Amino acid sequence: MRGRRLILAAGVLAVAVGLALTLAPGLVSFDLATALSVVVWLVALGGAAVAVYGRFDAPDAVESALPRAGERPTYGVPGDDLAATVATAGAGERDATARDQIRDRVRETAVATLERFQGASPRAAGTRIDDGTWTDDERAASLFTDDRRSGREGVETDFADRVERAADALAGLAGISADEAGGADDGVPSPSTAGPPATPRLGRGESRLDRTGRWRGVSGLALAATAAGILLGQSVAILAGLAGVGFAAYARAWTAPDPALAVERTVSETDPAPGERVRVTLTVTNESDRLLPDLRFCDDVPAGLAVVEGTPRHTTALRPGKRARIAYECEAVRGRHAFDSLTIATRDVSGASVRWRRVRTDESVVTCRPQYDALAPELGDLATRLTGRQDVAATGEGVAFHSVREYRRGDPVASVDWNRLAKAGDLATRRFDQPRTVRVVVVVDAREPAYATRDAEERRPAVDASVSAAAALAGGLLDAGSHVGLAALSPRDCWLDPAAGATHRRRIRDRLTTDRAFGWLPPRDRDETADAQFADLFTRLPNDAQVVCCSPFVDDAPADLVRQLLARGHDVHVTSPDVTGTETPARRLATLDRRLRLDAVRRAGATVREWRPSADPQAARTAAADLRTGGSRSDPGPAGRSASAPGGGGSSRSDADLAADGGGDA
Amino acid sequence: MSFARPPAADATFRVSYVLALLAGLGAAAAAAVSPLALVAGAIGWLALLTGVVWQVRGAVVFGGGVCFTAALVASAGGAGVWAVLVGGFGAVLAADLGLFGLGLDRDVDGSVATTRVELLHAVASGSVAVATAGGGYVLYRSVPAGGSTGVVALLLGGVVLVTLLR
Repeated sequence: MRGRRLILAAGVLAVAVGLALTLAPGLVSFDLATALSVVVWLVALGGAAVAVYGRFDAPDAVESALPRAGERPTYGVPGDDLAATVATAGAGERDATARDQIRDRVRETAVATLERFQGASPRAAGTRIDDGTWTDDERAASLFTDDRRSGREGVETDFADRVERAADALAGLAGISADEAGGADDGVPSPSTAGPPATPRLGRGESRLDRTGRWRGVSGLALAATAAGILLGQSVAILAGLAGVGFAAYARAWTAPDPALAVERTVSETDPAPGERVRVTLTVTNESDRLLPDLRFCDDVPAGLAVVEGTPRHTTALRPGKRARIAYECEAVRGRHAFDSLTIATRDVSGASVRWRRVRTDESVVTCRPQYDALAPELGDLATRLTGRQDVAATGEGVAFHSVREYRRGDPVASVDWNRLAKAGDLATRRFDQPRTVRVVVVVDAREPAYATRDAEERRPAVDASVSAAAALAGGLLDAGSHVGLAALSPRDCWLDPAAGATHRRRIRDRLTTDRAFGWLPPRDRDETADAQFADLFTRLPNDAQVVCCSPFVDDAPADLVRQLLARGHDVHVTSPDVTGTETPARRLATLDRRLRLDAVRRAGATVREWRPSADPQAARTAAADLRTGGSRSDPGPAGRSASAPGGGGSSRSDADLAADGGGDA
Repeated sequence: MSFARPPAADATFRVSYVLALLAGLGAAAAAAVSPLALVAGAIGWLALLTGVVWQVRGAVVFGGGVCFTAALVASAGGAGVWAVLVGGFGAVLAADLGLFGLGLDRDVDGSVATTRVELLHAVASGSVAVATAGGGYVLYRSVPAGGSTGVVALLLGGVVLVTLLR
């Protein structure tokens, strides 16, 4: 508004000067004073050019761009958040609090590391950290010692370097190095190749008219030229300013059209296999009676689907009755993907205004249902009182002999050990193993922190790996005769009561495939705390249910959940996909943190298995087949180990992706 | 299944860029009546080139502004009417077309055929430039010598006020 008033004042001034010069042409002569005025004015002109640049450039920026569709969301790599925090912490007193928070976080890991890997008590670990004797690297040790501060009070130099050295020293104590995963230590987190896809700002069916601002300031050119011409005494200079006037009027002559458009979309395959390409064809027809000089549109490709050929974005000029058709191909991944809208931007011919519309279209759904192997984990002894197929520490009617105990009134006559009575005269009761029905609830960590990835470019979140693990484990448990339920640890509710049967198996796989709790976009509800999600789970969880927890363990919440479940008497089995990396010190520290968490829950009483996410399920199936048939693999290694389903009728199931963690089970 | 990476953005040849550079070249050439104007025009054109090659919006705007300044400098150096008109309008056209091309690069991939919409925009902007410059030239020639500065200033001021008060 202020700039507008200034221009208004300049316009009034121009009119006044113009009137004066028209009446008295020789009013201004070109002398030294005028020349000095010209110099001053040219400086002012430079300032005006800067102002014009700012007004010309800023409004027509990314916010008015078409959405970046066809790219999977960007997920963070564990540790990169710490690296970013360290990078932004300055050396001055103002950032002292931020530095101390980082230091405390690293120190916590340091204490746990010394306890776990060097057998130090918490007190001894704290002492070693405080006196700097925990490592030979003096710079790493100085992160926690008092001599870290040099010079002025509150100023701390080389903080980032010392955090990195400390992280490396701690990772080294745990045997974690950059070479472990073949990563190069470049010290720099790999940047994502593109920013997050711009979410369309409009709801479906909404529209909005914006001024792009790309011509804003152009009338300032006219004023500047006019003033320069007057000062120079060169009337011809004013003619250049006509460009500003002409284009300023041009920009105001039209507004973006609001045309009637017909949209038609077809997909080549509605039920593709993972990795299969789905071709999407989109046709937009101009059903209005006017030319669309600048029509831009972008298909709203569902999150998770990556466009691998062609483009979902297009621009054209479209005459009445004409149509534009585009085609692109997506690679199918797990999930139910609904194409149901289109983002359209129409501009007037000058580009000064743009009309945004988010158009509803007929829904085209692509559902990709991966096939999962059935893998059964070792279960604990917690079981229902129902007879079933799984061996647990329960006795009763059965076939397999368990033990003999003293006869109690009410014991069935058939269970009395008559031989013992004949030999020794004692009444004793024989006990048999009684297979029971086990209830298992598979809990998938689908909170926002679980949407982390090892490879920022690959863009496959840990949640997807957890879902694969959950599906495989649920299948194996159902095969073994367990009653299996499903829960999502997420603000987006998902719960299935434990049950058995083919229908329930399909229901579980369908939920894991299509439920929005396991979608490709992280949940946005940050208000609901992990504790609230835990409370929901505890309310629904049957007392006699065992729990399989599928989580990447990239933060402390899953470990807290496991501890609370154990405290409530549940047997807990952790299956954890590893999405941590070793390329940078911060990532190595995140790897160490994860190991410490898994170790803590193992020591608390849970069984822990590493889940090796395989990029190619077909390869995993081949490996599994090799294991089943006793194939030529002589050393299945950490990613190949067979496990028998407890009470599963002796059936041996492949476990190509399920490997014991290095520390073993407690 | 291999998880696909997003397609990489490639440098795109666009008609708008060629036309922007031609307009900028015309503006710089028209203004080359004095060494200072020549230098300003050259800097402006190089900024335009940098902007369209490296996809820097600020450089395009800066280049157009400097080319426009070159036209003003040229007018002080005795440039003719057509030289100033070509310089001024060429500078604005160069920035307009360059920014339009950059906007297309931002919104659509390089594989999309955009020549039609680019040409339509260029023709519309060029028509505005020709009509405005022609009108200005006629007006400039029709007023008596010595009083033309005041008349044109009056004209510009009036137009600006009308524009602002709409």
